[in-house]
Amino acid sequence: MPRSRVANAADIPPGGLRRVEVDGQALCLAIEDRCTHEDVELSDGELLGDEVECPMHGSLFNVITGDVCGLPADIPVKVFKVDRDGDELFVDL
Amino acid sequence: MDEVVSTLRSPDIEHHPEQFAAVATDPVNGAINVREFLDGAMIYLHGSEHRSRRKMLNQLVRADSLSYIREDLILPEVDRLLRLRLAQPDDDGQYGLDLVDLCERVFLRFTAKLIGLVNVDSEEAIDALRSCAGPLAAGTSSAFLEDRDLINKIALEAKQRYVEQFYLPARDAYRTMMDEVSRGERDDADVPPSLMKFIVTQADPDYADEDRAIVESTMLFAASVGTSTQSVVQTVDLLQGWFKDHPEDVASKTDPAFLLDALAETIRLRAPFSPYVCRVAAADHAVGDRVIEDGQEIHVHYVFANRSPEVFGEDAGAFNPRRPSPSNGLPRYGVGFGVGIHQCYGMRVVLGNEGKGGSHVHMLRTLMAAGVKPDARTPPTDLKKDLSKFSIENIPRYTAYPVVFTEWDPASPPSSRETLDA
Repeated sequence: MPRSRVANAADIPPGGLRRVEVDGQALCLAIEDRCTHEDVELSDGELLGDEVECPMHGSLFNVITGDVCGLPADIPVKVFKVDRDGDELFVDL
Repeated sequence: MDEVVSTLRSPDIEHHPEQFAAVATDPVNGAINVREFLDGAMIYLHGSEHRSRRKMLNQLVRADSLSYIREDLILPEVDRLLRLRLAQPDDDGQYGLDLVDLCERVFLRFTAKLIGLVNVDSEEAIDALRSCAGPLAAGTSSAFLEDRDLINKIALEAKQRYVEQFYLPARDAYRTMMDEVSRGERDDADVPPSLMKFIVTQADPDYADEDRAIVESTMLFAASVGTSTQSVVQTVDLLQGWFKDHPEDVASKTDPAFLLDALAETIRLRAPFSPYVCRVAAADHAVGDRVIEDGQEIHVHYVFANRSPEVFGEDAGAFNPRRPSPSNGLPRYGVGFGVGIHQCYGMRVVLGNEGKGGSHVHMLRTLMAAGVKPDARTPPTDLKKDLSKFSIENIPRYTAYPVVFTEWDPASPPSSRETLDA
């Protein structure tokens, strides 16, 4: 599984969301940046504790497990393992 | 279906009020509908404007708000109204009421909170608000109704009453509260979250135009009160026929899972109210090997999609709460809440945050526990529509639905709280 450097930890504000692209794959650290309901960028949504709220229809996903926490989505999002090495963040795709 | 979904997701495909209001065929009434009841509402925004508005309004229907809506607003009001209206039997010894009236009052209380209206706690205030809500909803969709001139005249009068009696006092109350916040005399968190708070703080710059802000609020009378009322009333209606043919299911009449499936069937078969969804291509849009050209109109017939035998089985046109879930991943309610960019804002109020049953299911459960049945002495009435625009069937929109409660005991009425906890 390729490991890619995606950001500096300092670039991500506490409680914030960050979109990155790795090998053509859009991520909202560290889940796929795509609501499984209607293909909307989750990085434009709101982070509410451990859950991200889709900006369009309000689906909720746990950003650690990818599980659906609120309708209308009913399919989990992919999650990616994130490693921190010093100030650098790496994702296993 | 994939082509329809991709089309309705496309930023090239827009929702224009002029099309919904049929301005091309009735310019006078169409212009009234657009200006007074449609233009400015979230459902007619596009692109980033729509997304930021929707993102903002989503805050009002988050999980914690849903609990409050269900447990502190809707269900206590159901209990209160049932006890009030069914305190005494009628001359025939029956306990009866108009289910449309009951549902509209319940959902008006909820919608009033959602908008942020003030001084709406009394029966008189709800009576006055109800006298506005129906005409406002009819004005919103008069393109699909008979006697559009009269509908619009009544709707305009209702809008004026609504603005004077409800909107402006609420706006002024919120302005006072936000002034107190700015002077440090009140905590912002103490100002109830509502559409009016967004309007007064101009959380969306478009709300600086008060005419458009008013339309955003009046749209909720069609989108919240009307659809919710119809979904509950029509589920009661459709379940009567189901129980007649399937007496074995009477034992499940208060089972929330069964009622949730029944509600989903109702939404599949009888929502949305408009016979087709209107869109306009703002640029050439490829669909498979065809192109929808810039400016071309699109009518999407959800009614057809929701009766597809390939998706829902051979009896797709019939009400069947025991229907298996569609094998293609579509939910039981099909596309009843919409597809693509514009989808029902109140879906989680109806189905619950996790899809296990929201306010409407618990309300149905209370009604079923009390033995709700259509009142055979008085038939229901429904809105007269322009049936030339309804391609499959006349989906009724009830204006009155008299019912009796065969298991109602005023000394020991069922409680929504008990059904919620059960």
